Amino acid sequence: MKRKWIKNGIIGGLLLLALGSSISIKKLDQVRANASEDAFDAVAYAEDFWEEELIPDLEDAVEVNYLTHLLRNRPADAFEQHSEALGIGNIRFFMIQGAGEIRQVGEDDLTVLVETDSSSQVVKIETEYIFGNAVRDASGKVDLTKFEQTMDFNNVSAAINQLVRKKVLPPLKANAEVGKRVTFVGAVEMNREQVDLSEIALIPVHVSFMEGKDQTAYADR
Amino acid sequence: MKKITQNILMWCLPLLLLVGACENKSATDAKGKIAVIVSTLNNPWFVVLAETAAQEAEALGYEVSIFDSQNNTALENNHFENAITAGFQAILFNPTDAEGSVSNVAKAAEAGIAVFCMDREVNSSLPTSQILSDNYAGCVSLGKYFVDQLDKSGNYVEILGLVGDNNTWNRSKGFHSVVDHYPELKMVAQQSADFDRNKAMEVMESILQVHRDIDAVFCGNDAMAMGAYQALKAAGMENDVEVFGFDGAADVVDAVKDGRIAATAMQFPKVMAKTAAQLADNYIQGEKDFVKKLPVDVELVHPGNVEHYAAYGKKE
Repeated sequence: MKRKWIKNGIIGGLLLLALGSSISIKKLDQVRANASEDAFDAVAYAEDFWEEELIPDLEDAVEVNYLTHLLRNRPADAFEQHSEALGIGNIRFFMIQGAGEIRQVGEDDLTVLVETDSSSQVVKIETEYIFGNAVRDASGKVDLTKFEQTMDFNNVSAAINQLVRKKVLPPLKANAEVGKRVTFVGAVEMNREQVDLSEIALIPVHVSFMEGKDQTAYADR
Repeated sequence: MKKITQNILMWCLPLLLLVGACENKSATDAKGKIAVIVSTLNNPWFVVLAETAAQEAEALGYEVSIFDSQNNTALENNHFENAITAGFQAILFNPTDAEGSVSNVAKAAEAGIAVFCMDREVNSSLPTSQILSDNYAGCVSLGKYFVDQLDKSGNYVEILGLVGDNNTWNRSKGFHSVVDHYPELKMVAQQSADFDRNKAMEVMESILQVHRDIDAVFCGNDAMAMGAYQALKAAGMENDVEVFGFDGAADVVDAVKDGRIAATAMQFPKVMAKTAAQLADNYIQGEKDFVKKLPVDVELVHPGNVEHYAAYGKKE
């Protein structure tokens, strides 16, 4: 009986020893700090993307009236030549530019009429609903396959949208008045099978107010 | 004698389960064998996904078997082991768990079997390709519509799907990336119902016992949206609370048409399934270079555009 107790005691002791050596205790703060060090920094990525890749290439954006003319007459070519998309489906993104007159200052957007010699188009510049992937995907410069996790890729969009809210919207909202003329570049989402040109909703990346001769110069580009 | 009976049962039961789980679509002159391993066939959406994948693979000339994991990673593990030993060349895979399913994909990869994930993601670069709905973008669109419908203020409930599934969080984060910008929109409860209609009904019933003052319910899939709607109807609140789903299931597309459900996000399971089968065929024919992740668009469906859509896709 006594031998059995000694045997069980030794086995128990060995088990406790094995268990103890397999556990290491760390402070929760330390674990969290290490995890955040390893985490992808979407904000830093977005800031770098904004300065190094997005802004330098804005001049390549397609002019809005040229695009709408193409969408009405040769939609397949318009999507083929000027839109970007990540995967399979009908949702496509355009980076567009234009110049026009502010016709209305709404709670959620500015209504801008873009007129050129041959046509005119209403564009709603979003000042409230700055969400989604339009800017990231319209640029065509952020590659999904470079991201380990889809959520990191999505966080880049959220960080880019935050830059629009921080850099673009404050001066736009502060200076917007009916009758003023603006030049703009921004991203637009369209469903290839449900194109609605009655009004185009644009997330602005760059907007500037125009004065004097500059107005027509930019409008005809 | 009793022991012999026990042994027979022990060996036969897994075989019987396997036979029950498999739907063998054999073809004597097949180009090879493709397995479709799906998280659950207890949800019509996944039935469409699995059946379409199988039909497309069959049309491409393969012998196809469908395996139902019943949302159980251990059962999924058995299916992978069977697929490996039975000489399948590719697996069209709808995982049960983004982390828990990685080891199964690793086993297949080690055995040289291509794995094409459909709809649900695993947190690994081991799958040959992952064909996934853009859940985050779909829920951003839903979120914007949600904010508009509630005029930027109100109390709402969120019912989440499986907490171990990336889709659950991509949807929730897409939705919150919009809604959280509006301080007057208050989430009074957030609970999981595992993408299950009955569980969602129970969850909603228990939430309603505490929170009667709600304006909307955002659900991570359509099955849960219908469950939540049932609970609201039983409580006489179906006309006061707007319900939002995600998937594009048949009953919810109809419910959007007649105003019972406010909106859903249309995924395209048939597109994902067909693409996975075609890529598997390309793989078996010798192609080895695939895009690791292939997103498939998700489109907002609301009363204003519902005529463009039918169950699980566009109106044809």
